[in-house]
Amino acid sequence: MIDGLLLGIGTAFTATNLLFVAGGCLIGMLIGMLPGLGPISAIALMIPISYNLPPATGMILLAGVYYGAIFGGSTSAILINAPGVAGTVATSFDGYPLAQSGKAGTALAVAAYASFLGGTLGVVFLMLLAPALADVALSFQSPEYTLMMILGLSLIVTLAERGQFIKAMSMTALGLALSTVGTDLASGIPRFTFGRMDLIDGISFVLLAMATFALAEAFLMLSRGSDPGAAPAEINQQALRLTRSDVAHIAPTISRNSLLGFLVGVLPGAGATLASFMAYASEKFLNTSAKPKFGQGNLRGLAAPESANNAACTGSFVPLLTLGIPGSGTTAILLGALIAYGIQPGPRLYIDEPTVFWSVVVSMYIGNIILLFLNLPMIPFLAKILNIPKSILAPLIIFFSLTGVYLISFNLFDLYLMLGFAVVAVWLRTHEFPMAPLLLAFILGGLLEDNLRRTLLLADGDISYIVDRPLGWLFIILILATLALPMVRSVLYRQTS
Amino acid sequence: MIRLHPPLVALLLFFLGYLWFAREIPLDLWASAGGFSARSFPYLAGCLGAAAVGIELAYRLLTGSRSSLASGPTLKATPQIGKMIILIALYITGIEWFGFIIASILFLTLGSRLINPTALRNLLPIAILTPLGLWGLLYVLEIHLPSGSLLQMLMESK
Repeated sequence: MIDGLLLGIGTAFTATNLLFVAGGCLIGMLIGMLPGLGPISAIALMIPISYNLPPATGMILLAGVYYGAIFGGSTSAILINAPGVAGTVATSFDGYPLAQSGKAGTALAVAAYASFLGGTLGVVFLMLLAPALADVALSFQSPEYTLMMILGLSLIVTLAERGQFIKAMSMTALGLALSTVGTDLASGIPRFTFGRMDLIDGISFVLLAMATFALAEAFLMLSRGSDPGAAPAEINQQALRLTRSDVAHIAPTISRNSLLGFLVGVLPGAGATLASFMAYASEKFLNTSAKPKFGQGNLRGLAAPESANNAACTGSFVPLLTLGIPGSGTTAILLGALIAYGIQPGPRLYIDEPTVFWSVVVSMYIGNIILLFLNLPMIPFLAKILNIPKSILAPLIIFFSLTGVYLISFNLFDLYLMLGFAVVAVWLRTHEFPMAPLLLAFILGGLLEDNLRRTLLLADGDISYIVDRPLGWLFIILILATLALPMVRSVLYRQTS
Repeated sequence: MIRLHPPLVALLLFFLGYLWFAREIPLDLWASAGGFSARSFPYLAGCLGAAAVGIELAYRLLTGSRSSLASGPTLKATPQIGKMIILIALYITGIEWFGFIIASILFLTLGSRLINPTALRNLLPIAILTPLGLWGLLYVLEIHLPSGSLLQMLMESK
């Protein structure tokens, strides 16, 4: 491993490669900031450029773009509550309230540090654990994935505020229902399309996220009547320096959620979204008496999903590099790029193409450092966005949200649909229906249906097949514990107080 | 007298309608193998939703109290929101006719003035430069936004 690492350092630390990784991070960050243009779009746009470069340099550029885009998505989630990619939805839960309370600089700085540490720890895990984890990832099959998706859905118990469980449940069901719109991929049968071709491909996640978060937020801004710029965002470099107590407060959060994010990221299909939701939910569960409360600008609530989604991005490279299995849409594009170079990812990649493997690993680390140094000086300028008067900011949020959704499908019907969803979301939000369970269920719905169907096909309709699997009981215990623990804790809390 | 919670009633109607339409999904060839068809998951989601909303409504009817789970609205809808929704609908239609740049400039200008009649001198640079800048960035990335049917018709007539 040391030889490989030295080889990677030797390759990545050339002036050309450093320039490409820095350029990739910057471009990725700028593209990622635009709602709707996530890492997939950013990498896809860079592929024609990477083809003209040597394989190692090309992969270094693409890895930089990937990291940059993920961080860029967090910036828009924190500043304008517009999580353009699924992995940054959980970031907005506490990032946006922090920005609204005049701590945009602190929020962006915590996000930058958490991303850096999450990504860096992820790279270390990747170097140490990749071969072993590849085998674990392979042992996960449809029954395990089904249970993991159910475990993900059970997190709504933690995500829901006290007394909002039924509302959260109905929002979960709504998310699951919306995930069934479009063509059923297994049978090819259109569902709930009402004869409209516009709905054949289903509803895009970005559309729903933008409608329920960004667009709804712009409407609520008008409803509140207060100016979001009323709490002036601090814009000096001093605000970027975290105090010792802040560091002590978030360090354990970042460490445990980096590991959690990495492990979830390793599993093909699970990815950064589930990792960030799991991290947020587990952190909220562990810090019930935290002040400010989760969802109201808690630093741990921001650090947890940020470190987890970055570690998960690194984790998703494990099945790609060691097995040749893309675990997400983004890594599928990277797989295409590797194959176009004539490189076959898989167990022999270490041996056949050590330069590519290790330079990608090292470039991830360099990318993290460069991103941190690129971001920190930019934060004061980014935070100034919140000082824009509401009368200008609200239309700008609406404009960027609509454009972001339009860029996905180039279909104006999607914009009307988004407007409709936003109106419903505002109505529901004014009655305190939480939107996070809706999005979580929408993301997991398709995966759950797909894996449940495959499980039942394998087991010939016998659901007990799930329990008979080696990891079946473990997941069932985790699900039951997730559902039961808040209730047990509530009872204990009442007794002691 | 018990006042029904409008969003809960609307959600209940939605889930019942959803289940109704789920019945019309044709059965697929795979259905017989595992008993899981294209209808199964929608049934599951619809039943879960109807049950959750139904429990809450039943609780309210039986206890006759306003449950804490179904509190009234915390934020009020304002006429500004209604006007903004109409403006957005017009903007979406406008993209098709006037093209991305013109429609966006008009939307940003009118949207801002709808909220607060800001001095036009401060507003116009942002309203013009933002769509133009984004259009330019996307053009460089070879993503082309619509130029508008009216412009195309004008070009064709020449």
